[in-house]
Amino acid sequence: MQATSQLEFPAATEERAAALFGQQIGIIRQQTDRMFAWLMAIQWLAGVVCALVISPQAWEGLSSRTHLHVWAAVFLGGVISGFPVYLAWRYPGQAFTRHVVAVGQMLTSALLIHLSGGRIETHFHIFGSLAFLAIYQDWRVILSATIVVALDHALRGTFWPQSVFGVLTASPWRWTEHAAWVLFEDTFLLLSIRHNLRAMFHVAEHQAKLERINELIEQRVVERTQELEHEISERKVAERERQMMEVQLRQSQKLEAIGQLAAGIAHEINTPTQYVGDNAHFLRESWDVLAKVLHNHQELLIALKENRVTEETAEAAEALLDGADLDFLYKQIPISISATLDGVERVAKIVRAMKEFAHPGSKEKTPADLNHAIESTVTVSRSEWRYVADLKLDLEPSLPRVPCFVEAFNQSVLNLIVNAAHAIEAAVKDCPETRGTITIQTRSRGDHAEIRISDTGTGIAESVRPHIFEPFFTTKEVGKGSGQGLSIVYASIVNRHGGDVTFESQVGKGTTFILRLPFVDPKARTQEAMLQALPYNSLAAPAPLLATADSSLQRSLTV
Amino acid sequence: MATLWVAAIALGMFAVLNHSYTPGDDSGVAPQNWPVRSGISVVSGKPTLVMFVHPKCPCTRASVNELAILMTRCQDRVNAHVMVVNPTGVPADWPNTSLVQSARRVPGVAVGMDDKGREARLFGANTSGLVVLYDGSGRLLFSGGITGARGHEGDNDGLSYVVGVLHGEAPAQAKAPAFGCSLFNPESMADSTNLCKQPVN
Repeated sequence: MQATSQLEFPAATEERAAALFGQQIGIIRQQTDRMFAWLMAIQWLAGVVCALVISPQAWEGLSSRTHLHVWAAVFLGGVISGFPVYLAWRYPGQAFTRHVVAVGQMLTSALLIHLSGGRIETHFHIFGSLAFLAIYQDWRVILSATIVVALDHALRGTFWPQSVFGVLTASPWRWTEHAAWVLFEDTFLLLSIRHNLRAMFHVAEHQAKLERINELIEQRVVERTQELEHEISERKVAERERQMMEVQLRQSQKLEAIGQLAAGIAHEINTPTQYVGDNAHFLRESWDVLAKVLHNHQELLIALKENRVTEETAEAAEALLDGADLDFLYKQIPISISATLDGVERVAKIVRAMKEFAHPGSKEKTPADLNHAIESTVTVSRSEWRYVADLKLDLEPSLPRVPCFVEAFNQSVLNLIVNAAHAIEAAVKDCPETRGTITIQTRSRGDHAEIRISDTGTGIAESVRPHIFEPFFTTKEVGKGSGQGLSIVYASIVNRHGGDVTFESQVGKGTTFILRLPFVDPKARTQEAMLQALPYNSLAAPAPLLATADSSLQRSLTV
Repeated sequence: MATLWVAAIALGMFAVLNHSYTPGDDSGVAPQNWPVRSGISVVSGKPTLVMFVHPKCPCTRASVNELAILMTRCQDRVNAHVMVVNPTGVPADWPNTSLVQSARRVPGVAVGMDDKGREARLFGANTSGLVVLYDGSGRLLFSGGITGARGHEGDNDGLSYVVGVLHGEAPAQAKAPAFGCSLFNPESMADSTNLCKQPVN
């Protein structure tokens, strides 16, 4: 209420209040017209019934005829009631109608008073009728009715006093006493009407003010909605830009990682390439020797067929064989071929891993073999850890495929492996002969896959643990870490996959990062839960998606 | 339309009022002295009041009610009778009406049957509700109605006169119009007139 009182209401509100008041009073007067239409019809019927019961016939000895009161009740009563009933039915709510109703009702009283022989009890019909007429909430109607009563009593009191007062000897001014009693009632009725009209106008004013307040509220809601829509639109644009930047950042991170790995990968490729080349050279030189021996063998065979073999020719061939060192070649050539193929396979593996790692990925999650993804990442990152640590893979072969963004998962694993290598490097820098161990383990754990990446590095100090997932937070020396590695892991596993990242660490002993990825996409799980919440769900129970977690077949590799 | 409506109502009201204030047949003349042939019992030295009623006349109920008022004021001063007129040829239940029962309930009033309207004819009564009042010596004091209009109760000249006479006040009027149904058929009125015009001393 305080708020409304502070509002300023324009003149239109007063006009609206007046309109509402008029509307309401109009409805009341129409309803009252309808009520009187019924009331007067019932009164007419009741008058006819009373006449038929009280004075049905007039007599002359043995003969009789219908009493005049019956005809009066039927026709005069019908005329008195008919016109107001017609108006009330056809023109409800009009001033003329209610004045005719008032006059008709008072004349009905007059008729009933006369037919009842001027019984004083019948005069109560006048007072009751005035009270009914007050429902119109129109003082003019009361005035009309009062004038009719006064005139009726004045005229009949003057010329036929018995019919109205029940006595012949009434004073000529007795009608004024009757009129005074009517005015006495009128006083209360008019006061009541005035009070009711004021109350109705107050209600109309309140309603008009409420409507105005509602309009203001709606207007503000519209304005605020437009502002919000504008803000939402801006936020959507900003969100799109942020997502684009995130994509670009992720790509940059990946390219940066690839760039950082490039030197090591080049070295990884160079080593097999070198011994593939060396072996190829050996095979070419061996082939030259073998080709001479074979050529000599061909000539010797032709000479034998033509009986041209001489002792010199045989000695020369023997010398050639001795110089070729065939025993050595028989032994080394297969080894060289195997080594060459091994080197080629190794390069191919690195290239495949690079290709998989650098794949731009899809926009939607796809079921992925996490073990294979881990193996690729381990291969790509080999140069990061091979000088300081051994890396053990303990991968559960039956691990179900997990819906994920593979490139993001690879990036996360790479970051954790690099961090592990750096931690081990820091731990063993004073003991160059000592090597650390990085262990990567995968397991099925109920509704999610668990990936544990452990190292035997320095561990994480208590003081920095709350901050390790914050962007740009790093404890590494300048140039070795950007501080984004773990924040990317967190964003990838928690935000993009709906998974979880925790860690266990002991300073001086090492750290284990634990990644948990749900087997069922959380979005799909939510939709499924909603479907199952539906009553009378006819959907079949979903097939179990998880493979058994107690598979005894574990794979352990040392790379 | 409204004017026509008002005019129709005025006309109707006038007709109703005119009917109410039109007295019944007053052609009969009550004998100045108590008719000796009357079978109505009298008490010597006490005024006798007789009301003749048509048992089915609705207007007469007001007369009976006025009689009741009169008796509450003058019961010990008058010997009152209500004679229910039973014309010739009426069925047996003719007088069994609520009006007659009301008359029986009026204190101090003796209700008698006037077969063939003999008593009514003797007293020149043609209209239901007509009252005749004779003093203790049989002299006519009043003849007329004790209502002011048809079926209308309330103070009126006839009642006031009767009450005044019974209380020993100077008579101011010996006659008042009677309002009610005819006691006899029009064709039998001639006999009544002849009877009433006969010497009754």
